[in-house]
Amino acid sequence: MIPRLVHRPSISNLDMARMLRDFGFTRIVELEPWQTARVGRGRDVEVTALPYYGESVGLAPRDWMTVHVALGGRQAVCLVDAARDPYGDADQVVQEARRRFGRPDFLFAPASEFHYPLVHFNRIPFYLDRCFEVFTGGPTDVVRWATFSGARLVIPYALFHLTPRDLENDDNACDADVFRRGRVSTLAQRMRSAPDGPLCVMAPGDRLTWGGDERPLGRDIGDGVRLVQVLRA
Amino acid sequence: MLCGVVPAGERAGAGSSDFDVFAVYDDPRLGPDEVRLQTTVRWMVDHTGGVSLLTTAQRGWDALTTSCDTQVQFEGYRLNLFHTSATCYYVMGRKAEEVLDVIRGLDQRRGAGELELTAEERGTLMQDGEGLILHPAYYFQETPSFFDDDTTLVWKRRDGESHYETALDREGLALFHRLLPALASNTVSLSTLRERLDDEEWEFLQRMLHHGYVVPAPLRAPAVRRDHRLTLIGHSGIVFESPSSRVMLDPLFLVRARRDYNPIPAVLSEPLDAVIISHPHWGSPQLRLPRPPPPRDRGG
Repeated sequence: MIPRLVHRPSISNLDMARMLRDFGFTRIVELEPWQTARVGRGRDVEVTALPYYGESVGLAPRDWMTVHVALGGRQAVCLVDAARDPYGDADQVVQEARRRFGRPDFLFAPASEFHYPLVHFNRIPFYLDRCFEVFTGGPTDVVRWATFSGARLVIPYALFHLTPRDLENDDNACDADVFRRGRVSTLAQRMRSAPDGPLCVMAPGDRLTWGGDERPLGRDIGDGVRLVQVLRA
Repeated sequence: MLCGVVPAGERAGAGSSDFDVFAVYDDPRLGPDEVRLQTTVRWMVDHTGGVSLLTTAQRGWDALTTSCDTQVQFEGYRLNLFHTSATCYYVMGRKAEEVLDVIRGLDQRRGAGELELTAEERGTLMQDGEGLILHPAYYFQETPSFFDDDTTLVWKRRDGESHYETALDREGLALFHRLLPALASNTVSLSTLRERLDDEEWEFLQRMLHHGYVVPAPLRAPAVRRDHRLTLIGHSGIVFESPSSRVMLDPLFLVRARRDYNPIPAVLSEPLDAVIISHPHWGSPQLRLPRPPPPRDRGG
């Protein structure tokens, strides 16, 4: 499932459907913003494409998507690496998603505050005029999105964490950290003042479960949801 | 190593037969005087569709078991035998006729000095039927090298008696770690593994099989779940699971596999119904894995 190509394809707006076909994929579902599709053998996972604003090179609009996923009576908004760009702001997306779907149970919010160094070709004046240098959301954005969305759980992610150890060593998790300002500790400090959305920090491998009638694993984090720290137990 | 199997006579029935197995080892794990094994075994198709070899004579067996304990290898065939009881030896789960055909073909060529399997024969022996699992008699340790990027992978027997060392470079180690969780879970059939691994990974798996560190075993049925789940895979990768569906957002499998976590078990252990790609930053969604599920797995 990919975002439908609406604008002219370019180096910053790749024709993903064509590339996937070249890779050998044959069942490609393209979604326009706010379009919904049911997937899965039980057709019980509802995926809605949301607009994607962020990581722009400022050259032309790109047809990317963030996503809203509903399953098992819960819904999640996943903002991937979004923040804002010359064409829009994830604030609008979060607010519109709440208007259409109500309060999400889970808000997966990018917190990496990723920026590029001066030498990067993306940093052209056109772009800097509008977006300064931040490409992805950071702790300040997450706090605001938590308020806008009213999410029951706010999960910082897209932090370039690939292992539980990366979360433990958040200040030096990976090579990309030279471009990453967002830290979980910073977010945790700021979220104390957030009116909504308790912060739920997950490491790669961690799992949220709900609705099972088997012996529950992990710890109850409220509202019938349990956090299972699979690799950190 | 030289080895071969000599059918001892006609098959006694549709599902069993007797034949002699012999092997000439140059395996360093065997003592210098333990270079030859000859015994008579009886094969039968078991309830899993696999082939079991039951020893009917213990000729030469004691000498072998002294050194190899639970492990016997017939590497020329890429048949790995290990006993599940005192006298039962298990061969890869192939159709018995196909295995025998290969064995007979090998035996004929043995006279001409050709003992390598052809690609077709290898395919016959490596077809579907079972999954693979790490051999329970072994565990392994990694020892980083001080002088280069290679890591020494030390396979140790749980009884502590013997071990085998192999040096893996960074790519080899990454490959091993990508395979490891799937092997540990034992819910992935051989054919599925073959379908989802590239040639390099498959070759690596064959080598592990060849050395006996992984062995065939009946597939473990996936547990039936009733809960709903979402699992953070890494960076922006999330797997959403309902009791009947699995959907992944932004597959993130960096080539540099990490030693303490690998997302493959969560992804490969069961088929995915859909993969959502939010944006084409190829550093994030890597399309080499997972590959599209086979037609029989497609439901969504």
